[in-house]
Amino acid sequence: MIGARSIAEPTIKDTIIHRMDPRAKILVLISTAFIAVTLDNPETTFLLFLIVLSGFALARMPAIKIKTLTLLLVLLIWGTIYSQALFYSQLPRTVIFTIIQPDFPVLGWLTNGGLFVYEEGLRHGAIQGLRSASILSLGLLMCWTTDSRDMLNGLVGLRVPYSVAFMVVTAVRFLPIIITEVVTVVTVQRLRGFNPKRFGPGIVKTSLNILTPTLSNCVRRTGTLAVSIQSRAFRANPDRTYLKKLKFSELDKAMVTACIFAAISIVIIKLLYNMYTSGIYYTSGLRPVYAIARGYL
Amino acid sequence: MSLTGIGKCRKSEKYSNEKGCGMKNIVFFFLILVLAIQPAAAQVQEEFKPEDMTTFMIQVPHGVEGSGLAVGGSNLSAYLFFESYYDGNMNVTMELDLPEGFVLQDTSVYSFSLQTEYEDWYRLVDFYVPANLSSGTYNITATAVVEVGGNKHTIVRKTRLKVASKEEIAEEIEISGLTVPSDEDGYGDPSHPSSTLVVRENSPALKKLLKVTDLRIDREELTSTYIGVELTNKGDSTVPVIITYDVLDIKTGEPVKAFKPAIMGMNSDTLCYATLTLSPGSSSLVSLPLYISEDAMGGEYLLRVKVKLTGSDWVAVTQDQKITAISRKWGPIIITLVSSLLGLTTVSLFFSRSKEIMDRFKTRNLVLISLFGTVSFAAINLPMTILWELSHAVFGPFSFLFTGLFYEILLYMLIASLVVLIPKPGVVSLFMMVRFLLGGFITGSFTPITFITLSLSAVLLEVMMYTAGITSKNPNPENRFRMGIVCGIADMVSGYASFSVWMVLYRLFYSDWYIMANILIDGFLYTFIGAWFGISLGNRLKKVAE
Amino acid sequence: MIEIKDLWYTYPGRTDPTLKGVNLKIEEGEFVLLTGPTGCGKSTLLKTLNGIIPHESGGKFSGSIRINGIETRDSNQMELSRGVGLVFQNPDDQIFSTTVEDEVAFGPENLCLEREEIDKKVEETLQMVGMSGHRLDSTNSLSGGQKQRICIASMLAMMPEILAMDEPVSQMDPVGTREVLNTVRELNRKLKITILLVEHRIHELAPFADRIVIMDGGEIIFDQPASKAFDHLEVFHRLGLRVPEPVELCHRLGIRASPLSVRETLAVLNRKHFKENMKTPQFFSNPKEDTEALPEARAVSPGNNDPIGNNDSVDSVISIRDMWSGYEKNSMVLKGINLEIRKGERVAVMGTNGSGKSTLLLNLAAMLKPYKGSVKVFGEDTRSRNPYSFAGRVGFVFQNPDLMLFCDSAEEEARFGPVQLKFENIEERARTSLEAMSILNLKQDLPQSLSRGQRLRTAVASVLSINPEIILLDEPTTGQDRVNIEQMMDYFKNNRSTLVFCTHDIEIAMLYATRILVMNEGQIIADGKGRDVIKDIEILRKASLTQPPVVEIAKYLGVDAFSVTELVEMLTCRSSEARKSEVINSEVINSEVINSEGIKSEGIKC
Repeated sequence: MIGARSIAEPTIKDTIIHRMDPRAKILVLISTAFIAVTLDNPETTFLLFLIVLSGFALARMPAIKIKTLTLLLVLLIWGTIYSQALFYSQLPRTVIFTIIQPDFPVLGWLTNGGLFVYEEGLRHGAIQGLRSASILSLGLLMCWTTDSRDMLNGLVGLRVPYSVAFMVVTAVRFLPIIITEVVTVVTVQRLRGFNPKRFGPGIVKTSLNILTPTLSNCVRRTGTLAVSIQSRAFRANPDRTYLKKLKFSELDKAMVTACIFAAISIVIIKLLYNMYTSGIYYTSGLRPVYAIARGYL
Repeated sequence: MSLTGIGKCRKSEKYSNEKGCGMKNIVFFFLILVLAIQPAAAQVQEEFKPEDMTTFMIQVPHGVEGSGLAVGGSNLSAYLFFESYYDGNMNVTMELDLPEGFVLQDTSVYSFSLQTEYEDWYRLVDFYVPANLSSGTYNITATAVVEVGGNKHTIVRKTRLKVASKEEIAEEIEISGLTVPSDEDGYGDPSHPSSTLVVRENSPALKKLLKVTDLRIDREELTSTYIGVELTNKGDSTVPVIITYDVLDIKTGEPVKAFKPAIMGMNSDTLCYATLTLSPGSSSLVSLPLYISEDAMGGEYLLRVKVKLTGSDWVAVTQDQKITAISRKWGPIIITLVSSLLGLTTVSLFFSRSKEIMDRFKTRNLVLISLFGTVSFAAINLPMTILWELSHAVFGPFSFLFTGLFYEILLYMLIASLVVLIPKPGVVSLFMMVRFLLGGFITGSFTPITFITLSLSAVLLEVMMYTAGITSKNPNPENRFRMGIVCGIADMVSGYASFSVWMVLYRLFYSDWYIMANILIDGFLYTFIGAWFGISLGNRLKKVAE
Repeated sequence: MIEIKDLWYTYPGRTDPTLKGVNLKIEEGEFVLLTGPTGCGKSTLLKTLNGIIPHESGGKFSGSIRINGIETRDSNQMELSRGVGLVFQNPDDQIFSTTVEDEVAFGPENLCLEREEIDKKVEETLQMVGMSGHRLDSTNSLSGGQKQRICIASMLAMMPEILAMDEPVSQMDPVGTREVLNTVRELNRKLKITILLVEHRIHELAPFADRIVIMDGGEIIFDQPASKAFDHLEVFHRLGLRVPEPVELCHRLGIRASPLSVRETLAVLNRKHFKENMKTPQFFSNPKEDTEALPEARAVSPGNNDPIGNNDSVDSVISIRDMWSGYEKNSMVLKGINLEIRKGERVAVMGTNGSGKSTLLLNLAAMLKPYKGSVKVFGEDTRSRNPYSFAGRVGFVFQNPDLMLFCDSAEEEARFGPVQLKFENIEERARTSLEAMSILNLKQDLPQSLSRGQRLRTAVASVLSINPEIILLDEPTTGQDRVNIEQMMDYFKNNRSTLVFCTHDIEIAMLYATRILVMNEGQIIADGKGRDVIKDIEILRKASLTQPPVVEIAKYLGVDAFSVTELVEMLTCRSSEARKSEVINSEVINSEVINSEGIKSEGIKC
């Protein structure tokens, strides 16, 4: 069973991916996200996905993580395929299955002419799913190869205010505790004959029943934690020093430079191409750029 | 021209008869009569020379000077034209002599009188060229017998019509160039990608906005462009042709209505054609208008240009070209841009003034927000990482009805209760920020979509809560209805924006009904319920905090 | 070092002051134990020391607190924070970092120390608390005691001169308690750090303290050196405070001495020749347990720990056969458990954290299914039943009762179960259960806003209203006052409920359990009557448990006694017998007692 732990916990090893500076990882992720949302060419999108996946091999991820990743990717891509099969609105499109007939009472009208499964939508969904899949995979790779503390140092290194970083650390630290508490709350209620409902109108009662004790505990904990933190001079000075010092390796630098350069180039090329196709801006000098965009991006 | 003149003249006569009772009118009438009759009377004596004083012309088919071209099975019209330059009365009997096998659809003999100089007569005489008529060149003769002053003069005109087989014609006419889109003269425009059509939406508000931002968009109801078609006649006959086109579904071959929309109540077929008479051995370029309705979907289409010989429904030549329609909806693009800018601006503002902002919160506030972030992540994000996808995979588009129950209600319960506990501006933003970063750390969801939607949601909630007095200087966060409405509206807007972002950045499609249902049920209803009960939860927690 | 004069404080939104004219003076290097009943204002007093009250909290504040001559009200809270380190009850509520190093470095970083200095400070303070080998560990992977030591270390990293600790061991298992207390003692003795420690568990802390201060109703009502504090036992008894067993024993024997350790007690008793008097060790059964049906107690070897064989008893409500269970397939928490529990038994499950106690309870409630083997509850195999099957028949009170309260009033809490289970007489059930827990008068109150003890009682009432056939309690004594624990346990005892409860408190187990299971590394290593289990030092050592002082003393004296009452009875009976046979010697003893301790001999009548 894939549980919260297999999603949330990093696997710390000593690989080239693990050794990367957390700032480098964050920057690579952001760059890749830009590239992923910019690309349209299915082959290039697939190539990007493969490159991201190769990171998992380099990081020598354990089987449970690969299993988790596979499950998440399958669900994600299938979810995209499903939705796009229904909402695909390009031509040609071939109906392979009718869910709601156009003349079906009420629903036919509500859905503005029925709901169908389109063959071309399946393909479109699969291609577009790769986009989200690449971002998700890289995100997971980053989380699974970086301790949350290093990640936080990375964020602070990227000039995220310390107060925010502190809040995130606190949130991360209490996650396993609160998960355990939520499980306990549900257990308690089950033993008192309550069947927690995930769906349906009972969700309000279930939510309140779960949130009330969990949050009450949080509110109580807040007082102690705040006092404990304040007594350690939190925010006593405008600045603070840090025990950990992050260091960019040459490889990190090269990687980040390459990714940022690629992201900026691709975004600019696609932007120019889209301006060209929209009739906003054209210049004959950019024809090779348009050709690259049309052919590969 | 002369016919019109007669028309005018007759009108004036009628006018005079009706009103001629007055003396003034009678005097005026005589004066006019004298002026009119005087020159006519002077020319009566002129000698009639048939070839010099008439124009007699036959075109088969109509429009073709010289020998025409037809295919068996055509309905053609022969064009007979006669004009007099003789200033006197003449009676004309005209006879059209069609070769054997041709089926005349009308009478072959016409009689008419021409009274004055420049008066003319014309007639289109329909005939049918049977499909089984053997190929060859046929002579067609028109004979006019002109009787002037009792004398008869015969004038003969001949023309030839080549009746060719379909194969022969298809070889003679060629579509030698097809440019989509083109300018209004049919020439290609390099500033537009070839074989690509851009479908634009036409909402008036958007047009206004685009006008302000100086982006080009058609001011008309429809987007329009042109198709340039170059035709070459390789044969030795003049060919009258009609050029039309269809935009077809590439798979079914069915015409797509969105590319032939009704224009001012008229079928656009009546506008989207061009006629051309091709001289032997010549090439001509024509342009045809192409109208694109805003409902047109993007995708791959087949542009089929058809060339028909005049008079025939038979399509002599067709040429197909795959075209791509890009459905570029500016609405979602602008929403995505605005949301992204808003998100980035807010984050930049926060970063630049973080100390000032954070100092407004006590440490216990920050800790509480963090813990709420953790609870939201533990109770919503983590289970939803798989459940969300799973429910989408199973329930498809209707999964939002279920996931929203979980997602929106629970989330807004947390937000509303947090605001009850800490009714300060910025609390929602910090909560969202913790959620975003936590999601990034734990599940790697540092995605542009998450960033944009969360930041927009935070900004909207902050602004609306402050404006509604929930987090203002004298905060009043406990009004359930107000909180519900504020959260509901904010979530509707951010929900709509997030769909736009999905559509623009991830190129996903969503039906309008789906988006509407989603933002009404998930965005408003569930959010309202969540916020409503969140106030109760907040009040309970407040007692715990006390 | 600390000088408090006429301190009054009222929390915002309240009318009654929590502190009412407190006066206290603590010298440098002192170890002061501050105690008192719940709600007496102890924790509030601690928060005034580093300026959190009134700087952060607001409220009405008057009087004076001087730390090293600096008035707290007039000084910066941050400066005060450096001077006084605060450590609280639950380490999980104080640690916010994910790693030990970050947690300890947090304070020095905020003080803008240089990187090298921070590094040094982290290393030093971790060494001080004996945690230097855990510098890079995740805070979540530490045991309770280790976490609390990290909390202390992170305060020490701020270089405070005073450590103010609010019940730092009340939530610890025995191992954790020992770790923390040893650390605190070392800090006090070696580094001369002034310690002000608030704790209910006087019996465990008194040996370390220089002074014992008792607060009641917001005032300091007692302030004596530790050596003399127990001369006034009536104060402790009146306030329901737990007195160390050796002290209690001596006082009940009429010996005017307050030994705090077993060794001191034995020295006192030796002086009085008690050992010589105990010629023939006798077994004195606990009269309270005489009527209970008990299995024959014995230590069990792992893998074959079925104390009663394989015969299903007609009264058996729980039957476990070779049960393996855990949260991950390749890491079983319970390894081959065999257990039979009969109706009416009260079974205490003991062992260190992680020994599998809670996992066992979850299996009994069918919330966890065994990976291997079988668990039969009421004769039904839990594997074939869903978690709701036993709802109403099995009641569960969790360690943290706060997680059990979600309704709008205590009455609704009590009604919730019966309503969900569609029981009859809902009102009656709710009323009875609230009454049993003495919270009927609070029935309209919001449960979450009640005091800690009241919340526990509400949680128990919410389970009692279902009237379950088996009640499972997961460490209900943790962080609770003795009064609350006793009230709850007395109810179960009087109602002859079938009870399975996990506890670290061996005295509670001895007092209320008809049977004790000792668990270690997922196996039951001992199962039997409390008195039999408790005698086996080897078993207790494995489970990191220690014998109660009185058992140790009794053992030294060569008798089997398991409570102060028992031992006193034995000793006084023996004394009488001895008096009869050895009149002269007895007279000497008695006269010595009277002469030296000033207590009348009626106090030690048989």
